[in-house]
Amino acid sequence: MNGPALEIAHLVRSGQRSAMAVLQATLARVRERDPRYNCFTAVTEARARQEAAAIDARRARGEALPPLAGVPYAVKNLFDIADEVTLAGGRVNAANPPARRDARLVERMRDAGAVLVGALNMDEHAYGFTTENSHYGACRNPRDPSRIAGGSSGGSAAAVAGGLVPLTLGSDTNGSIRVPASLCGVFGLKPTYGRLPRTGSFPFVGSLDHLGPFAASAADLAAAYDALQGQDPDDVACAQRPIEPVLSALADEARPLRAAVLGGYFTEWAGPQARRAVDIAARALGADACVELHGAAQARSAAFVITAAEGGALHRRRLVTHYDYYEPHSRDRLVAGSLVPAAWTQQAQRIRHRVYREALALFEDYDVLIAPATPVPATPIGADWLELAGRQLPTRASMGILTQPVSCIGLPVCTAPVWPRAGQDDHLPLGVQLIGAPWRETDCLRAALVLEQAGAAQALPL
Amino acid sequence: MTQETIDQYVRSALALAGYALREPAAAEVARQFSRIHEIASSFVDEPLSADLESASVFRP
Repeated sequence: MNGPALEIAHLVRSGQRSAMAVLQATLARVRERDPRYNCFTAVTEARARQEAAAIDARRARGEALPPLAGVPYAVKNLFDIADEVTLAGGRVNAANPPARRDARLVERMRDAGAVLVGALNMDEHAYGFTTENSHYGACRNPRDPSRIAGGSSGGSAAAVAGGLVPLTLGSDTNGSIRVPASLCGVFGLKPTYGRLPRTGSFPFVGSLDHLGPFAASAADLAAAYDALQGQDPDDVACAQRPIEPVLSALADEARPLRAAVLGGYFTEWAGPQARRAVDIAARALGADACVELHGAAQARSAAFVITAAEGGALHRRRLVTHYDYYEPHSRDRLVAGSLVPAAWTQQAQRIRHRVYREALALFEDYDVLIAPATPVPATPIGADWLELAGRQLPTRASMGILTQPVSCIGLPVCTAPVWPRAGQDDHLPLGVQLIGAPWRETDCLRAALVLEQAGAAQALPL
Repeated sequence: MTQETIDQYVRSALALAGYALREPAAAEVARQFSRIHEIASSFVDEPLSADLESASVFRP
């Protein structure tokens, strides 16, 4: 089990390479490649040099180094970075005062020895699935720069796919980790709702917001996730659960995974490449059975309504005063959301509970459920519509049609990059969701590792 | 619910919420609201069991 991040940490810990040398190479790569992809909105070079120097100094003193020592990483620009303005993709936030301290997960990455290189592009306020940001420019897919990177954590996925940094952090309210991971061909983890604290991140929809990592291998993803775990009383939604290390469990766990394909809604809204990606994953995981989550369509609807209402309510006062500053792609959806009657959102929350109960029953027989992460591969930048199941759907709101039902009920999901190699987009990846029972991130990551080791999923280097 | 009812609701709610949008923006908001209504209609009138009642997390 390895990956670019764990390899760097090994080299730094063993003294074969300094953290500063790793950082210099990373900064050179960012300068050389990012003009093609537009992943970064800020490079925190001075801070990165301080953090790298501190790691090298600790090694020089003979101290044991932490697990991600010297590993460069970057974060979606909704994470607070001390002394930087938290943009959350919005021009309307550009005049805000700088953050006074790091987000909790940035603190944990620093404690794990990782070196923060910068902040990453996203859809404004995380309301979109394409990262076509009108203020900071579209993020381009490293697999094909004419295509979207997906969103809203587009910069986070593209920065890993383009080889700029080996680890990034993003957020996922309705699919914003899983959609860009799928379209850019990298691994992404959306943990169970409440597993990781959101303290110090710009909120979007409090009852649906999750944070998580991206990586180029399942092992790297597990290592990052392990560094991020822990309770936090400052986020009331953060569960009071002990840390459950995954990386060591991946190596030790011998129990075979029971996997099934999630059909019905998830097949109905899947294009041909998405179905092929699921077939490839199912074969590698020995998943012969196909099961249904009958409430999936309603869960998606509930997520849509809760998102509209909570997101709209969060921004209403500033939309009233600063409407023109907001992203043209999403501001009217936000305004419309701010008008949603409370009875609709209350009913949507009840639907969540019902579908959650239905999902729990599936996990009595299976550890992991497989579904496509996106209905289609990456669409061209600027494409307003996509055709799916004989219907024209708005791309920016619909690319998450297969992720929304799952995050609505808070289940952990690892997205693994599959290469269907079919159809006119045969150069593009399409990820599968590996969905686990609540708090069973280990099963999701084990399934990703099985796919990777079988050659069924891979974050191909450029 | 008819489109006319939705348009009337949106324009009244916009005023109630303090918005003063130009006409094209108000029309687009009405179109977006209509889509939310269509999506919500799969469950808003469904009788649901009281044991599904939820509350947002509050820890004093």
